[in-house]
Amino acid sequence: MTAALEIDDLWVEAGDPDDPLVLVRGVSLTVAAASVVGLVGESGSGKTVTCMASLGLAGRGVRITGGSVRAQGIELVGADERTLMRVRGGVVGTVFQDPLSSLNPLQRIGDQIAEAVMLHHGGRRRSHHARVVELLAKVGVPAPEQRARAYPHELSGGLRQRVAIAMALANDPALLVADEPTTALDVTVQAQVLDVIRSATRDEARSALIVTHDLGLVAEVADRVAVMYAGQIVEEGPVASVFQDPQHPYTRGLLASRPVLAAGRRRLGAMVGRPPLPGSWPAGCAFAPRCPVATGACGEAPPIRTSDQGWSRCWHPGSGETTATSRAEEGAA
Amino acid sequence: MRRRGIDLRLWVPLGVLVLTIVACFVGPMLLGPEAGQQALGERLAPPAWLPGAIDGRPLGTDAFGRDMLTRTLEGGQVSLQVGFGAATGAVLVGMVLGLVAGYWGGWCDRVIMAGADIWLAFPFLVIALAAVAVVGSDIPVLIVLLTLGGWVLPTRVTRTIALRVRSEDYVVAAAGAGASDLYLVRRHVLPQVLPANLVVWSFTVGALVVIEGALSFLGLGVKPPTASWGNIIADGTPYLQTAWWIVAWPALMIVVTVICANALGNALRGRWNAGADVIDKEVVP
Repeated sequence: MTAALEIDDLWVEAGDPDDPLVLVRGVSLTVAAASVVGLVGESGSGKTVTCMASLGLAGRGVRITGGSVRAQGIELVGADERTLMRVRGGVVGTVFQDPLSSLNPLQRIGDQIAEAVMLHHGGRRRSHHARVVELLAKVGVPAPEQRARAYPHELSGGLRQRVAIAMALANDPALLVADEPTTALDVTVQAQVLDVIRSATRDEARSALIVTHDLGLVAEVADRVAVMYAGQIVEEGPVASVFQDPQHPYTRGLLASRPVLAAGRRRLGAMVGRPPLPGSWPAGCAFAPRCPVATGACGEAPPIRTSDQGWSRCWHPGSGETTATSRAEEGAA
Repeated sequence: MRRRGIDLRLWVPLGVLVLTIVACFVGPMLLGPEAGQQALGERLAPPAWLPGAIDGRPLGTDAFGRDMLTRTLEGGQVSLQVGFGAATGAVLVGMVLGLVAGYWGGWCDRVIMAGADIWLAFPFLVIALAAVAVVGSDIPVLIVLLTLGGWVLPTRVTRTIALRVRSEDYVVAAAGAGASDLYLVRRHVLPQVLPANLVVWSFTVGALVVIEGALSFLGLGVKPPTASWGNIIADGTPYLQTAWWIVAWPALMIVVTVICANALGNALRGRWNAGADVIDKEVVP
């Protein structure tokens, strides 16, 4: 079966071609049919750029300089505009972070969903009204007939994100790409939107690539997780095994800095330093300057270690008990 | 901004402009063709309230005995056609160029904006003089000429807004739904540049009515006996000390039209706050 999305050694850069700013360094990632992959990492790690560049939506000045991206077997890197237009919305539905700004404030939401249908099925906006109401009902918008006539500002953030998801699902795409779909929402609403995404993927055997920095979201909806740092994927594997036995020290740090209710009152773990910005990524292992287990070997690019289910990019995989946690405990004492 | 009732700042100038247009195009028909004929026995008659006035010539007559009311209204037909026509042309040209420059960017943008800068560096009246000398000066020529005189402002305003809108999330989202560039421009960018361009259009009408007046005053406008506000003023200048009314009425009409066009532009800008910052930045005094 064809994978929904196959990113193979993708390189992305921006700015002056003679002095480029490298944003993504050889990312390879596969979203298998009917599976959900979470792509996590801090701001500036290149996770959004990876998704947007794959679909040719990264904007002017952002170039793919190498690699290949196939959606349902269709090559997207170097593809002509016609192919990209057919894939966007048709094969791949996209949901953006901020549901207010991703809807046109001047258009009724029904018209915007109808537009997404119309772009792939032709006809007039009005002739797709039944489909619009069906989509709104599917993503759990109450009174869809009436709501179709509302403008974005008349809806709450949660409803707006449901509308954005309805737009993405308009043409029954095989793959849903969601860029931080819950980040801009209240916590209570996040759970509801998560349910919508879950039913759109699990219940309909649809694949999804979900970009987020919310590890809880990944644990709830994703089958596999890829951790990105400084333009590279540093660890990839099934959610259960990565969360229980993280191989890369960065993954361990991320997991340790997550609040856990059951742990009672304790200081949250925190990683030292800040994530490096594009253009100032250290040579060798980019995480080495912040890494609690770094050694001299980390000045060299780390090897890729594959386990039976995933892989990581580290000189010292799996070593050292969750150091960030222990350091945090020392701080609390 | 939006108060209960009628917004006078918008409706007064709009009303006066509409009234002016209707008067100029309908008025001469009501007054009859006789009033515009030369009548040497009735030369330089003063307006109705001054001694020596002639019945049926409320605003006086000119040096050929023609009724000033009729002449002023007929002159308005030319000035308003050229002013409104050229402003409309300038805004249409400017929107197309501005959308191309702002949305597609790259070399299109550089060529168009460099063209705009170079164009502004030329003294427009000199170019107009040369053009009129070569191709003559009927109304269509004047409209094209003044379109060239006014395209830079709407181009810049449109470009600036398009540049901002094209990277809005909802445009990227529509692209992500499979929309083509042309569709995105038409459906998502164009509606955002329209209000600002209506404001620019209004200001441009005012500016171009003045320029048309200047051209006609210099003898570069429509040829007499066809009247235009500018050439009536030119004809009346030698009589300024004895028959001030020949110059006064068309001059007054130019002033009223320009003030109303600018006031309308201001009111529209206040009403649709969107784009106001762009317009303020681009209208260099």
